[in-house]
Amino acid sequence: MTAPALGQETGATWKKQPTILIGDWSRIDVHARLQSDYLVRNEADPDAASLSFEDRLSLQRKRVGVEGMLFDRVGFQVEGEIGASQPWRDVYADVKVNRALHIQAGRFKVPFSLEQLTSGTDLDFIARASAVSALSPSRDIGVMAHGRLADRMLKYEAGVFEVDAASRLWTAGAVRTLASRVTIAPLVDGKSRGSDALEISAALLRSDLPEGRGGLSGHLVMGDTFFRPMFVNGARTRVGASVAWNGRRAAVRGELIRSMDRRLGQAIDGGDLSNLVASGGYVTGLWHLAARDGHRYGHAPLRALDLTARFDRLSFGSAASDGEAFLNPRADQVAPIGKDAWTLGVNWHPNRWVKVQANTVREQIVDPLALLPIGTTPFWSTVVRFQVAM
Amino acid sequence: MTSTSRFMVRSAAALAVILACASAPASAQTAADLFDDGRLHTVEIVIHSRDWSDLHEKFRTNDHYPCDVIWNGLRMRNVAVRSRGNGSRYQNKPGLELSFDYYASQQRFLGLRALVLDNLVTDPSMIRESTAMALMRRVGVPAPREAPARVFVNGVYAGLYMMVEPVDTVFAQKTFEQPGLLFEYRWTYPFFATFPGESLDPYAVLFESRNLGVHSTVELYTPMRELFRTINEAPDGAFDQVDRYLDLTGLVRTLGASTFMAEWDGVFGYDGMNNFYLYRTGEQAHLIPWDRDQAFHALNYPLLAGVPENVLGRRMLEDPALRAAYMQAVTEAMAAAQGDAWLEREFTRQFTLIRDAALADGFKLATNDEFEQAFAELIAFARQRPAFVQNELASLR
Repeated sequence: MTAPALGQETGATWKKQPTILIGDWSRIDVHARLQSDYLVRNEADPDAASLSFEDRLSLQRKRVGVEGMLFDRVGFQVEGEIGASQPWRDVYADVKVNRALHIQAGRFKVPFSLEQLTSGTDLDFIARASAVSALSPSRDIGVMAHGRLADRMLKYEAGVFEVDAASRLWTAGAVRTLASRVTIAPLVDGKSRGSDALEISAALLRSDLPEGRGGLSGHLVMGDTFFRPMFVNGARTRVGASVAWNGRRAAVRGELIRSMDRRLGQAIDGGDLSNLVASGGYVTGLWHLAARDGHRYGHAPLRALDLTARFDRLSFGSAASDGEAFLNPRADQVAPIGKDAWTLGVNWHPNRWVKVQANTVREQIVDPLALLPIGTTPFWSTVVRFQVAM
Repeated sequence: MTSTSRFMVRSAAALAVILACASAPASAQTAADLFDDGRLHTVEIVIHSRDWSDLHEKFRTNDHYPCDVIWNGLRMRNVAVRSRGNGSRYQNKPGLELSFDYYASQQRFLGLRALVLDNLVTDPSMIRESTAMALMRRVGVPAPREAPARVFVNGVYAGLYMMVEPVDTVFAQKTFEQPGLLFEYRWTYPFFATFPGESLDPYAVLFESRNLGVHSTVELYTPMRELFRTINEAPDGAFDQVDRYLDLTGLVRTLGASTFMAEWDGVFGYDGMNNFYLYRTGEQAHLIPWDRDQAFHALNYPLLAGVPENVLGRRMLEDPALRAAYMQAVTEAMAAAQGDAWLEREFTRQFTLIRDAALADGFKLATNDEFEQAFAELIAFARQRPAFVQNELASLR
C-alpha cells in the first residue's frame, strides 16, 4: 500500500486498476479478481477421466474490494468473495503512527507464514504448499502492531487474534491467538537497507485449543483427506522460519513450520496424551524466462514467462515414541503419516491483468506402517488456472 | 434377591474376571468362537466418556469414536465404534458397529474387519433375526452368523445386544471363495426393480459400494444397469437371461426361506426392496440377506406378499421353471423348520439363553411383559405357520 505522491489532484486514473485520488494525501484503489481452474488430470479420482468439460471447469475465486490510504495516515482494505456464505476476507484499517509503529485492526491474515501472507493473486503456484495450508492460520479478527526498525532492516509484527471472533468477540469463551513475526532484510537497496532481495523471517504463534476434535488435518491437493483431526485440548504452539531470495532472473524460497498441540485428558481412559506434532516445509525455485518488468510488456514474444518448481512435505506424529503407534484420534503415539509432493509449473503473464498458470503435481503418501487404505502409490494431478486481476 | 439383581451380581463378577485376564496373551480363538451362539457372550467397550456421550447425542450420524474392545480375555485396541442402523437407530440404546480396520486398514480381529452389535430394539423378542439367519444358513443361504452378548461400556451394563457378522468383503470372499465387488442396497424410495434408466447415478444411490480400493463409477455400476435392464426387458420365455447378472438359483433359495418366515421387509418388501447386499463376481451378482428383525411377522402372512408388485419377483414367478424352483425352496425351508421341531426348539433355546440378560436390560424399548409375550407369539408361529404355508403352496400349484 503506497501513499499518493505529492502534487496529485482529485480525480480518477486507471493503470492496473481504477484509482480514485482525493487531493494529495488520499487514494482508493478498486480491485477485482477472477480465478477459474481447469482440471486436466486427477489420478486420485477414478471418475476424473470421464468428466465432461463443464465438470472440469470450476470458478475458484470472484473477489472484489477496495484498498487505499487516507490522509497519508490510515491505510485500509475491504475485500469480499461474491456469492460466499461468509463473504468477507480482508477488512481492516491500518493507522500509521510512524515508520516504526503501525496499528492494524480488523480482519486480516495472522502474521506467521511467508506463503500464507502472500496474496493468492501473486502466488507462484496454483495451490499453497501443504505445510502452509495445513499448519498456518489464515485470517482472524485481531489487533496488531507492526513497523520497521533499524533503517528498514528489521520488520516486526505482533498481535492478538480471536478465532471465530465474529460470534464471540472479547467474551470469556474466546479462543485467542498470540502472534509474532520478525523479518530481517540484511541487504542494502539503494541508499537504505531493507531490500526485498533477501528476507529471513521467524514466527511464533500460541493459540488456545478448546477440547474437541480440533487437531490439524492433512489433504491431497485435490482435497482427499489422508490425516484426520485428532482430539486436542490445551494450547497449540507453532513456530516457523522462512528465507526468500529474489534475484533478477530467479527466486528461491523456503519455509519450515512446526506445530505442537496439547492433548490434556484425551486418552480413552481420560488421561493425558503426548503432544500431537505436525511439521512440514517447502523449497521453491522460480526462473524468469522472460522478464515482467514494464519495458518487456508488449514486446517480448512470450511477455512474462516463469518456470517454477517446488518440493513440499507435510508430516504428522506425536511426542511419544514408545508403545504401539496408532492413527485413531486418541492415540498416544500417533503413527507417522505424511505426504511428499513435487510441483512443476509454468506461469505466463500475457498482459498486466491476465495470468495463466499450469501446475503438475506428484503426491506420494508416506505411511511406513501401511495403515492407510489409500496406499503409497504416487498420484498425479494437473490443473490450469486462468486469472484476471486488477 | 430378584432375578435382575442376581443377574447384575453375576454380570459384575463375570466382568471382573474378564477385565482381570484382559491383558492375557491371545489364545487360539477364532471367529467361530466369537459367533458361538450356544452361549451368552460378554463384550466390554472402553471409550472416552465424552465420546460415549457424543455417540448418544449424535446417534443419527455415523461419526466414529476410538475405543478398546475386550472379549473373552482378548483386548483389541485401536477400534472405531459408531452408531448404526436405519429404523433401529435409538438414542438410549444405540446400535453399534465396531470397525477394526477403520484406523488401520490391515487390522483384523479374529479375521474380521468389523463386528455389528445389534441393539435389538425393533424386535421385542430379541431373537427373530438370529433365528431367521440360523434357518437361512440351515437351508444353504449365505447368511451372517450371530451370537448374543451382554455389552458393558466403561464397566456399566449397556444392554443385551446381538453380535452380528458384518456383510463385508471378508464375509463375501469367504462365502463365495473368489474376489468380487460388494454393494449394500440402500433404501431411498420404494423401488420395485423397475429400470432406473441409462444414467449410472441412480444405481450408485441405490447400491452403495462397500469396496476397498479405487473403482470408477463405470466399473462399479455398468453391470448393475445391465442387470435391471435385463430384468425389465428380457423377452417372455427368456427370463433366465437375468442369470447372467444375478444368481437366480441363490435368489430363489433366499426367497423360499424368506417367504416361509413371513419376512415383510426384505428383497420383496412391502415398501420396495430392502435389506440385502449384492456381491458381484465377474458379471454375476449373488444376493446376501441382511437385517431379518422383521421375520416371523405373522403366521398367516401371505406367502407371496410383495412379490407381484416387484418386477423381478413377478417375472421370476411367470417363468415355469423358476416358479417350480421357488415352490421347492419354500418346501425345503419349511421342512428344515419343521424337522424335529427345529424352529420351536431354536426359539426356546435362544430365549432361555438371553432371558436374564434381556430382563435386566433397562435400555430396551419393549417392556419385560412384551418380551415374554413376543416369545409366545414366536412359538405359535413355529407351530402353525407350516400348515398355513402348505395351503398357500397348494393354491399356487
